[in-house]
Order: sequence, then C-alpha cells, then structure tokens
Amino acid sequence: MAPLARRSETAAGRVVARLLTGAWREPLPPIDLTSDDLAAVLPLLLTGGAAALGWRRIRETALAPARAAGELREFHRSHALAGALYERSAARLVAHLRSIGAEPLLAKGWAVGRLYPEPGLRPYGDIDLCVRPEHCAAAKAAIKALALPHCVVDLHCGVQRGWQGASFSLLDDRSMDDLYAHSQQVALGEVGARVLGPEDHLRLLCLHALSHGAWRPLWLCDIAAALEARPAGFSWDRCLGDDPRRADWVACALGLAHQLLGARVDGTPVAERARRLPHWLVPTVLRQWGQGYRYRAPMSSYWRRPIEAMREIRQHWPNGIEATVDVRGPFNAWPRAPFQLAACVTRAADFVTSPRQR
Amino acid sequence: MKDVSTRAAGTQPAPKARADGLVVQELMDEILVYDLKRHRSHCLNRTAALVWRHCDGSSSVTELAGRLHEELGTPIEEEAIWLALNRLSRAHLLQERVHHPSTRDRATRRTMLRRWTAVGGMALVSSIAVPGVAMAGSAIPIQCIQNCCGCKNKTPACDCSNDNSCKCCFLPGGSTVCSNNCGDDCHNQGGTCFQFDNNTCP
Repeated sequence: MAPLARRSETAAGRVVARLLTGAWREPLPPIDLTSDDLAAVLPLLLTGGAAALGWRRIRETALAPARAAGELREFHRSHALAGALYERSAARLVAHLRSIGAEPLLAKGWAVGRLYPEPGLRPYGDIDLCVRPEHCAAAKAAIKALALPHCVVDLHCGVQRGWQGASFSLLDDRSMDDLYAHSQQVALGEVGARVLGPEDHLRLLCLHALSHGAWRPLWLCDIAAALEARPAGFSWDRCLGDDPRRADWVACALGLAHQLLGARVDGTPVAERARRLPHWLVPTVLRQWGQGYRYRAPMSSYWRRPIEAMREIRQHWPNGIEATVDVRGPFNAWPRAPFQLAACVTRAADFVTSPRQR
Repeated sequence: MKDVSTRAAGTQPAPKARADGLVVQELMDEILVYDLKRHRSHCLNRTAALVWRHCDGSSSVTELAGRLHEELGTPIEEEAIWLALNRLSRAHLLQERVHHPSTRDRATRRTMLRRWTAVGGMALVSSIAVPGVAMAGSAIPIQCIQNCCGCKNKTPACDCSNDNSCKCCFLPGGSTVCSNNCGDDCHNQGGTCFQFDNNTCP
C-alpha cells in the first residue's frame, strides 16, 4: 500500500480516537473536531460499532446539527431499541437455562454495555454466554427449543483450551469453578443474570480485542469503561494473572485504551507499561481504525477459485497485534513481520489440514 | 381499535396509552417504542413522549395541555395536543383511536405550521430502523442490511447468484450501492464494501 494511503488511514484513525476520547465518561471531556472530520470518519464509526458513542460525544456541541451527526443519532436510537429487545430475549434465555440447572455466565456485549452511563451507547451482537461443559448438551437443546427472536446465542461450553479469539477460551487458564466463584449477579429484567467478575471480564475484554487485532474502536471503549468502572477492592493480580506474557498483553491493551482514548490508569500496576508501549502498537491500531471493516470471507469458500483466493489472502494478512497474539509472541520492540508470517503459516497449515474450519 | 371521538360528541376524550405488546426505551429527551405485534418502531419526541406518558385514560385534552404547560414551562395549545394524539393514534400507541371531534377549526397553513413548530415539528412520532439484534451488533451498517439484503436476484446489478452472496458499498454520508462486485471501486470512493451471505440477512 502506498505510504500516502497509509498516512491518511492513520490520520482517520486519529480522528476516530479524538472523537471517542472519554466517550464513556461523565462528564464528557471537551472536543475539537470539525464537521468535515466527522463526515470523513462516519463510515469508520458505523462499522466500528462506535456510532452511538460518537453521537454522545457531539450531541451537545456545535457539531450536533451536522448531517453526519444525524446518522450517528439514528444509530444511537437503533442500538437503544435493539438493546431493549435484546435484554428481553436475554432475560428469557437466562431464566430458561437456569430452570434446567445450567446457570450461564455472561460476558462482553450486554455484560459490558451495562457499564456505560446510558442505554444504547453500545450495540449488542450475539448473547455471549458460557455454561459448564456437563450442561452443554442440555443448554444447546434448550436454546434451540426457545427459538429466541431478535438475537443470536453464542454458547460456549466451558473454557476449553483453545485460542483464535474464541472469547471464553481466552480465559482457559482459569477453571469454570473459579470463574463462577468470582462472578457477579446483576440485574437483567426480572430474573437477574450472572456475569464474569470485574477482573476476569476486564482480562477477557483485553485479550479479545487483541486477538482480533483491536480493529474495532468499540472494544477499546469497552476496556476503558470497564477499567474506570472497576469496583473498590479490584484485584489486579487476578486480572493480570500468573502468566507474564498474557499479563503484559492485558497491560498493553489497557495502555492502548489509555493512549488512544484517555482511559485513566493512574495508580494501577499497569500505569508504567501503559505509558511505554512498543512503538508499533499505537500506529497499528490507528491504521486499523482508519481502514475500517473489511469483510474476510472464510478461505474455505475459495477452494475452487484459486485466483480469487490469492486476492483474498491480502485481506487475511493479520495485523501485528493479531499475529503476535496468534503465535503467542511478546509485545516488544521487534518488527512484527516475522510474527505476521508465522501467523499466516500457522493459519495456512490449519486451513490445509482442516479446511472445514476456515 | 375503537374510535374515541365517536364515543361522546361534545365532550373531550380521555385517551389511554397502549401498554401491551410494546417494548419501551427511554432516552435523554425522547422515547423509543417497539411494537411487538406490528414489528414497527417509533421515536417519540419530548412533546409526544410527555403526551403519551400522561394518556392515563382519565385526563382530557385540556388537562393534558395543562400538564405539558407545567412540565415544559411554556404554554401548549390544545390543538398541538390533538396533533400529538393524532400521531400517536396513527402509530397504534393509544388503546383507542383519537380523532379531533370538531371539523370547524379548519386551520390555515400558517397556523398549522405554527402548531407543528410548537410541538417539535413533523418529528412528533417518527419511524426508526431497528434491525435484528444480531445486525445491531454486527459490523455491517443498518443501511446495508435494509437496502441490500433484499437485492438477491432482483436486478442485474444485484444478481449475486454466482457465489450466493451480495455486496453493499457503504459510502460516506450513509448512502449505499448494492452490487455483486464493489471491492476496489467502492474503496476508491471512500466507501466500505460489505459482503452478505445467507446468514447475514434477517
């Protein structure tokens, strides 16, 4: 890609970062953007899941009457109403699973959306929940029988060993008993729901964002919101964990939220690391944010179309963050190309040996 | 739905807000309502929201105007309340349909405009797009879902029969172009190309 295009992507990413700085916070920090800036990053906000947060940032500024602002407002409304429908479905689902003895643990999505100061600031996708492996078959059958409208359920059966960004498996260094023991009961409709404890949740949010290359600005907002909403007595030892490499990943994700969005890390054990990130990390995220979403079709769908497959491979080239996490590498000052190559080789090997999974 | 205006000629109706089959979400200065029966969603501006909230089945239009005057701190004409009730009625958000009982008051265009302005203009009750929750959380813009999901096999530009998927070019400003090939062309216009498959569209 031409350096000029790269620079413009980074610049667009920087505008996104400025717009979303403190977007989860009350009161909101001042903002200094033009309506042209806003129009330029509108598609990036929409695809990055941050439209409603963008609206919250500008709704009481001179930018509010801008056309792009109207788009953001529409998304806020849409997210808010979809969120209310989601909550109805989620409450039904939790009650149903509870009734068959499969108490679920919720994470991400709604579980982090509730930490924002207003409804509708964060879109919810599927209902991410985890049950004990022994309850998995019954839970699957129950979900199928329930046929919930307005939502898709992403059921995880325990925290099986695994990687590749599959949310709950990012906590595979913890047992289900341990996760349940540290979980919290929170309000959800009339039934209430059990969500991951604040330490496990923040850890999961950090690892999940990195495992997907932090391409969605919303994910860093989630991290910032969860970080600043942490309760008194928050255990950093538990959040960071015993594995030094993963602890450093978590610290770097928090550092990204700090440097790009102004998340407050003062007085935390990660403050020093958050201020001194590897030189490639912030530019990688800004470029990713500036590029926006690009659909990556599964490579398995290109089996009989080799020319298109070659074209698609470009889309599958992982960014430095994703590649590093993929191969469980360190976030240090070394160039990322070897990690990216290694990640591609690993994925290609997976693709060849088990094509149906890609 | 019954018709309130025919019930008691000469007296004011006491409209009652519908409660069943609705999902309501309050925002800072408006109320969002999803009708589970009709699968329609509405956005009530502040005035319409206040009128709707006060539609308790016992308050007359005059009383509603008085309450809004208290809450908004500015006098509200009864005609404005009628306009709001009319909009709420048409959106099926009242238990019984409400019509202005009098046809004597044929408002001029200018007075109508003044009344519209007093209650927040045409946006008293507006429709909003609510995709399935899965769509709301997906990275694909709602406009693409709305405009391109139905394109399969309908027009040559949307003939996506080759790989059973459609593409949506989402341009700055929110406009969309549906086609079966929008990669580089779309990106060059500053847009983003999204691909749909059978699992994407609601």
